[in-house]
Amino acid sequence: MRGPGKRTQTLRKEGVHIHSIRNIRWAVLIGINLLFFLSYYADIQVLEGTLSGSRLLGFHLADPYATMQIALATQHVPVNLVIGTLTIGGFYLLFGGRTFCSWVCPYHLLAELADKLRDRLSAAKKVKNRNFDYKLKYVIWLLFLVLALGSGYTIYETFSPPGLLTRFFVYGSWAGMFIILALLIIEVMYSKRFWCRYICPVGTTYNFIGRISPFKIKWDQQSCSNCKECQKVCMVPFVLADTVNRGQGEYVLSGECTRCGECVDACHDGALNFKMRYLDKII
Amino acid sequence: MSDAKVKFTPGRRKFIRLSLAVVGGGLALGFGSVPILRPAKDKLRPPGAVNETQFLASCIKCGQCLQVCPPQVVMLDGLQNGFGVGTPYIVPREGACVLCAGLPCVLACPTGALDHALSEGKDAEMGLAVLSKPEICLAIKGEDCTICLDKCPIKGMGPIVFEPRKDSQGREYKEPVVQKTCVGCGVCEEKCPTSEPAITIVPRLRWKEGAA
Repeated sequence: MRGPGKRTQTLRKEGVHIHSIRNIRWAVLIGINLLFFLSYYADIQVLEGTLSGSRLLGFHLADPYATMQIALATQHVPVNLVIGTLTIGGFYLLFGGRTFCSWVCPYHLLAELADKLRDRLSAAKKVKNRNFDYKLKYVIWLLFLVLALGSGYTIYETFSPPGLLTRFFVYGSWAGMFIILALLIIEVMYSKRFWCRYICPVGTTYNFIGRISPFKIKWDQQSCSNCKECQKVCMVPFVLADTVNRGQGEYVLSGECTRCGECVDACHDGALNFKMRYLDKII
Repeated sequence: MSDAKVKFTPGRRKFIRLSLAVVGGGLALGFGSVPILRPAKDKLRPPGAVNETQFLASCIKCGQCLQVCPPQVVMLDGLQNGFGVGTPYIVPREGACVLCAGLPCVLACPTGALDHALSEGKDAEMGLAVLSKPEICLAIKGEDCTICLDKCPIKGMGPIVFEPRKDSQGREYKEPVVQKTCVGCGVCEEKCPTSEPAITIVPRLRWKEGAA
């Protein structure tokens, strides 16, 4: 399993793009956030709370990174938080870690739209892109944990974008939207996906979970014709490059992969698909 | 669009330099911002709230206490209050906590910022009512007003006692005196019939013998 794909001709025509998975993904993302909104606004009580902490039909869910900060800041972990974190951690352990980002996080949807604007401006040579080292996010992840431990406050939670956004559309706390707007402007004008790629510690926590998750994108070398369409649509391009260009095994292994499915949609040859890694071998 | 061609590891030395800058700046900014982001004034928190510092740290800002609150009096703090952002508070004059049976807000709290050890409203320690403007209090003016006591959700334990007084001119009146059983729910402040409340809640104040 080394080297490029084996197919010599593509199946579909060059440049054909379908968005069947994206449509489902956006529907799921909007649906989950709508549940947060309606649970309070229309009092349907299905998914109460925010993306930091919530209850799904009464069952606690909690953001693992928020839990870690609270544990470090207060040196105490209440049982409901343990339950909530294990539930969320367990779910994403099964379903791919940063799946949270592209399928749940409302900031990701805004950033995707900002990406489109940036790509347009970039094509017109109005903005240029600046890339940083992806490892920066691990430093920042540690930094906010150290700050929580040292200061006794959950400093990161004061401006965590998923928290700010869900509190905005569930409770109408609009002041945080200035931060969201500033981040989007940075992403459009300065560096593509600046927050998601180099900063977000919530996503980084899911990155760690996603590495060991069996839910991955599988690359079929026999079907691949090396058209590289997948890498054009990928929101974290190097994760595919590792697999498809360099042939590092048949699965996209990086924890950075958000399992958004853009590559699956774009693949001309049906060479990329969602797969349960170990289940594959059992069945 | 050309991201795939971009080299994503610009070299170890550059990365270490950037990391050190971020860590140094982050630590300085983070610790430096603590006194600025820490709200100076305590707000009235829902029943069961642990001490303010621990409360600010352990509240996950989910607003579930607000969602389950039957009288809908819990509000979430804004970004202008630093660490207080997204934390629940109550403005008694606009709507006071009525100490519901079972304390649903406490039960809803996933983090213990509202301590689950509290099971009854009468044991809450939200704050203390204080007769902050005795000069406008109707009872002190000599009228027969006991609304603060009548509306108090702590029944039969007399959080407010009307003590008979006589001023220097020999005028007789009754002064509402806050007792140990007051938990600071704020119903008296909400219901006080004067244009401004004569009785107000001081958040987190504890009752001391003879202090009233």
